[in-house]
Formats: sequence, structure tokens, C-alpha cells
Amino acid sequence: MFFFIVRRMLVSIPILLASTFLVFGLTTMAGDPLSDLRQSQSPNKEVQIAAMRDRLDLDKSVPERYVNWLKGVPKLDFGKTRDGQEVWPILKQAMITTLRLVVLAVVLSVLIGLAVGILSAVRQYSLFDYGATFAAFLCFSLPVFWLAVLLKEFGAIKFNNYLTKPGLSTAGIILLSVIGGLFFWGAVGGTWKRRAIGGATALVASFVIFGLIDNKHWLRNPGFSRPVIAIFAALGAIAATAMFAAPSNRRVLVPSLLAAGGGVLSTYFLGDWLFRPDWTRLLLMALMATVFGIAVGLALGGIDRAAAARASAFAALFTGGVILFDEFISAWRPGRTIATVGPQTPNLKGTFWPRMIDYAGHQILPSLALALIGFAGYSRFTRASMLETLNSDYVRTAKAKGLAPTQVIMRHAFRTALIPVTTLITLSFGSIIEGAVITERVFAWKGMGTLFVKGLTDVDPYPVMGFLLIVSLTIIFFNAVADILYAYLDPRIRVV
Amino acid sequence: MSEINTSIAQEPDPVVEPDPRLVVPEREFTVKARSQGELIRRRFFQHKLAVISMIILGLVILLAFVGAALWKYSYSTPMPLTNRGRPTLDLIPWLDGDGLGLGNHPFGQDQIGRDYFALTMRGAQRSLIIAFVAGLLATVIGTIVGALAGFYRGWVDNVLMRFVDVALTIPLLLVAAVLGRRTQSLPILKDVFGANSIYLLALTIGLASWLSISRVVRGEFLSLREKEYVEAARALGTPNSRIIRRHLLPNAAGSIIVNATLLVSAAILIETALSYLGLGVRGSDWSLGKQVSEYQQAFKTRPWLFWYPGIFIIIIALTINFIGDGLRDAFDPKQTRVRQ
Repeated sequence: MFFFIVRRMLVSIPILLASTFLVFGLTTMAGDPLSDLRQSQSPNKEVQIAAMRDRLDLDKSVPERYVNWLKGVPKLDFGKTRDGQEVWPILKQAMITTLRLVVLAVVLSVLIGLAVGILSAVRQYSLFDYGATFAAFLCFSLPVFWLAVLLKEFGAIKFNNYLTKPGLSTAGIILLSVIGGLFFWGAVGGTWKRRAIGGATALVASFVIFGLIDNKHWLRNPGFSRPVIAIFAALGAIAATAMFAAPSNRRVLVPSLLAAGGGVLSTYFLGDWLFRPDWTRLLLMALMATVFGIAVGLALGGIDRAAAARASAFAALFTGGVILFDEFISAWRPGRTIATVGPQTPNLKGTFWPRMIDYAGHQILPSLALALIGFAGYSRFTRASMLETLNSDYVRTAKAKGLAPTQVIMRHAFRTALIPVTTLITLSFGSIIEGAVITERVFAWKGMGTLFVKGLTDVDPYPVMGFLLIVSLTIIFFNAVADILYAYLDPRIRVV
Repeated sequence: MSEINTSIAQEPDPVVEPDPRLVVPEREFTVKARSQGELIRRRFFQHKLAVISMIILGLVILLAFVGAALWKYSYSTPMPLTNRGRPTLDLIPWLDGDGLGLGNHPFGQDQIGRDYFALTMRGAQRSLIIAFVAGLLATVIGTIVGALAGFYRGWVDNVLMRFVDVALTIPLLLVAAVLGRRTQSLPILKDVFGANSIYLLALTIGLASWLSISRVVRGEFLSLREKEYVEAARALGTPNSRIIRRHLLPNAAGSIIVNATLLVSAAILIETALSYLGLGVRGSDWSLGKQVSEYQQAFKTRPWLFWYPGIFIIIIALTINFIGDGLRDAFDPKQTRVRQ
């Protein structure tokens, strides 16, 4: 496996060299870098032009300049911009900004895309399926920046107005309940009667929940009490059991519930670690939750200990997520949270959670704009891939031998369906960074895209080269990730 | 083995029936023979959404080309503003206004008084031309490259596919920027296309988007060339060019056509993105993308300037995508119409 990946990396080196050389040639060809200086009226025009020539090495030929640039790359010397700044520090900053945008967008779109894709494959030709299909096609057909401008308008202005005085009107409650009912009516399978009962139950349940939310003014001061956290944790444990084994499997259900319970109890003594965390603390807590979950699963799982360990670790992590989410929303106060300019409020001070709220407010709209487009591709692809596996013989066999439906879907069909989906996801990373160019511009984020477009318009080759190198390396890296994931997902693939 | 043989031998001879071709059927139309093309057409027309999309797209094309030519205003003449240039189109009579009616300026006017319906139709016209030319170009190049690579394999395949690998890493924006700038300084391009031609933009988009289709076609050809009928054709001494044209291309047509529709709808969106970054349609001409990006600042004061072109972009891209979906179902019924 290791040698296979090394070999793949080695093959990509000539491609990388060729493409960087081509891009270097194209960028230098894109225009005359001295044109603005030539037209300038300043008396020391000649001196300025000479200085610029010297800075950009314009006296040398293009291949020579390319080789010079290439020599600097291993030393992290990416050349200088037209203004004489080093490219690398700018690039580093831009990378962090873009990464924040892209990672959240990819995580959102993968999670929603896979879930919607699985559900619409399992309930093929249902109301839910048709709705999801139409939504995906609509997202395919949306121009990114048109969507971004709309989000800016409605998200930032109208939604912010709402956020200063959040609450639910009676009409809003009824509308949300109807949507919830319709969703379940479409998503529940089986006979007409079953679906109608499912939809009606969901309608009533969401009416009660939204009514309670409004009645307690929850939206103005959100947060969960411990019993509510415990309910979510228990639901997570049941879902984990259903995903990794059958929901009725006691050997898995009991340790998962215990792991979730342990997570809820931990809130009594974690105190400051939850209220004033930093990234190391968060990482440590996640690690602890995983280890605790695996230990409980292994100890109590009996013959299903492998599945129990996975499910308990998942349940523990999920509980941790719910607890952190509670801390996060508790830090929120009504106000104009959603921002449309830049990745964060400049010179922001404060503890961890208010800072996170500020980040989230800045991040939600651009990430959403990017995620909607990725979601369309992932959900369609997952659906097609799932349909193929759901109709295959081994899934029929799995159903015939009496496995629980969730187990058939998640363990037998979905795992196989994930193989082509993995390729799509890893390959789309590069194109999402390119798509971020526009989103960054609409929301005034100074990321890689801004760097790239500015370099293009100013005929400034080195920032463009930096952008290209990072994107290409990302693509190569994710290709390797895809190869490793293949081997993990498909036991038949054993690459040497 | 021998048992089976004997059992077959022991069976009584079947009653010899007359050759079915000689028997005149009692009712002529019990089973009708259909050609492959007919089957595909029938399957396509069963896909309701695709058919509706085709009608809507047809209407949009008609409106953009014929409607704009017949419309009373030109897209470039400013006129005095009436009612701040609000749209006079009224489709929902029970909400407000005088009921169903077009009015003088159905899509309103922009801030200097140009008729926005005429402008939007001009934009739609240009966008459609750009998208279809770019899609066609990309399909042709991609098919040729993919067919050559997949059919000849060996060094041809290696050279072409490594080239595709390299080209895939080059950002489209860069190509657009270089080609866009160079038109001013390269006299050949200027003579062929004119200074601010939309065809040059179409060329750029086409040149940047054939890569995916070439990979698809190569894959199809790699598997098709191993089929028995290709071997048979080769044994008969059929020249390579004829094998490609008669045997391989028609069989790969399904995926080529489906991908071509996707390229067209992608080209519309790429044009919008390029226009937003100032690399799209230049000069005094318009496209839907340019309209949206020019008027995004007007969103608060004159929202219709932003809404109408955007809605037209979505209608065009959406209908083309649905048609592509219908075509996919028609060409490959196995893929989606599975019964559970």
C-alpha cells in the first residue's frame, strides 16, 4: 500500500512540473506587467520601471524565471509580489482562511448529501425522493454568486433583523409543523396508511416541540438543560446501535447507552474545560470520549464487541458534540450575528465561545453557498450508487437471512456504495477551492481565491503560482486519500 | 453428459411448425418491431419532466430570438423612466394591479431607462449562443481526443491522457484571462472574432471544458473496442476509421449526448462566473451573467434588475439538466428505472 501511494505520488511529479510551467507561461503572457508604470506621469518613471524589472526578473527569459522560482519552492521561497512582498506569508494566511471556508462547506455538503442520497435511494420514487431530486437539480443550476448575493440580502439583512427579536409566530409554528409532517410522510416507507400515520405523528410532534420552544422563549436564550442533553444522547446511542448493528441488539445498545450516559455525567465535573476551552482541550476531550466509548464497548460487548466498540465510541462522541453545541448556543445573545464581510470581526477579544459565535456568524453564509452546490452532486451520486447496490444479489441475500433493515442498508449496501462516492468527494476538493474564488469575492474574504484573481488582473505571476501549487498538491493529496479509503472500504482491493 | 444426451435423444421429435415468417398473423399489430432510435425516443417522451423542460427551453429560445426581434423596443435605447422603471408585468391579478397584462415594460427599466425585457432577451440570446457553441466545441474536441486515445491505446493514449491530466490542473479563469487579454494584441484573433466577440468567450469556455468528456469517451471506447462485433468487423478488413464511425461512435452516442447536455448547462454557469470576475462578455454587449453582475448593487433599489436575468439563467440551466436526465434514462434504462 505504502509503495503504491509513493509510486502514485512520483507519477504526479512530472504532471505537476508541466502544469506549473504552463501556468507560469500563461500568466506572464496574460499582459504587460509594466503597462501601468509606462503610462504613469511621475518624474522618476524610468527608475520605477527599472526597479520593477529587477524585482520581477523581467530581463530574464520565461524558462529561466520559472527555473529560478522552482529552485525556491523547496525552501518555501515562492518569490515576491509586484509590491515586493514575500508570497509565502501571504499565501499561508490565505490558505488558513480558505481552508476554514472549504472544510466546513465540504463537511456540510458531504453529511447532508450522503444522508439525502441514501434516503432517496431507499425510498425511491417517494415524495421525499422527488423533492430531493428537484432540490439537487435546482442547486446544480444555480449560479454561485447569484445565490451568494441572495444569501447576503436575505441572510444578512432580513434574518439579522429577525435574530434581534427571535421568536415564532403561530403561522410560523404551523408552517414548520406542516413541513416536518410532509418530510416524514415522504421519508417513511411502506403502505399508504403507515406513511399517513408517520406524517401525522411528525406533524403533531413538531407542533408540540415548536410550541414549547415559543412558549419558553427558547430562541431568545437558547441552550439545553441536562435532561434534554440526556434525551439527545440516548437518541444518538440508539442511532449508533442501529447504524453499526441492529437496533434490538442488546449487546451493542447497552454499552452505547452507557457511553452516552458517561458523557452526560461528565458535564458535572468538566466545568471550566467546557466553559472556557481551547483547541487542545477540545481535542483531548474528543480523544477521551473515543477511548471511553471503545473501552465500554469492548468490555460489555460480548461476542459483538467490535460493533459495540464502534457504536459506543460514536455515541460518546455524539454526546460530546451535543454538549459542546449546547455550550455554543448558550453563548449566543440576540443581535445581528450574521456578517457578510470578511472571515471574522477584526480585533475581536473574548473567551472561546463568543469568538466561535463570531466565526460562525461570518462563516455560515459563504459556507452555505458553497455547500449547496456540493450537496447536489453528492446526493445524486450517492443515490445512483446506492440504487445499484440495493438491487444487487448480496443485499437481497442479507435481507433474506433476516438482518435488520438499517444493518442491510448501512453495512451491506452503503459501504459498497461509498466506494465511487469517495472518489467523487476526494476529487471535488480541488474544484471546490476553485469555486471558492467567487464566494470569497462576494463575501470579501482575503483567501486564496482573492490572491489568485488579484494576481491574474495585475499580471503578477508568483501569487498565481502559489495558488496553483497549493491546489495541485491538495488534489494529489486527496487522490492518495481516495486510494487508501478504497482499500479500507473494499476488501477485494489489495494494492501492493 | 451422456445421460443428458440420451434423454434428449429419447424425446419424441417436435411437431414441425411452419416457419413463422411465412404465417400471416391474425392481428397485424400485436407486436411491433421498433428500431433502437424509436425505443430511445419513446423512453425519452415517457420522462415527463424532461418533456416539460424541453417545451420550456423551446419557449425560452423562441422568446430570446424571435420575441426579441419582434419586441417594440431595442435593448440599447434609453427611454424616460416611468414609475421608477418598475416592471409592468402582471401575472397575478388577484394580488395587485389591473390584472393579467404585459404593460409597456414588462420587466421594467434599468436606471438609465433601457427596456429591461429587451435587455434580458438580448442577454439570454447571447448566453444561449455562448453555451451551445461552447458545449458543441467541447463535445467535438473531447469526443475526438477520447476516441483516439481509447481506440489506439498505447503511446497515443499515453500522450493524450497525460496532456488531459496536465490541462485539468490549469484553472479555467487563467485561460479566460489570457485569451481575453490577448485578443486585443493578437491581430489574427481580432480579425476572426472581432474585438469583443462572444464567440471568443465561447471558444475559451469550450477549450477549458472538453477534458471530462474526453475521459468518458475514452473509457467507453476502451470497453467497446474489445466487443465481438468490432473483432468481426476487423476480421472482414474494415478500416479503422470506418470501425470508429460505424461501430464505436454510435454505441458511445448515449454517454456523449448526455455529457454534452451537462456541458451546455455548465457553460451557462461558467459564463456567469467569468462575467462576475470581469472576464466574460466585454464591451457594450450583454449576457445574462453580465447583467446579474452589473446589477448586483441595484438589488436594494431595483431588485428586478437582479431577479429577471438570474431567473432566466436558472430556467435555462435547469431545463437543460432535466433534458440531460431524461436522455440518460432513455439511453440507459437500466441505470435509473429499476424496480425494487
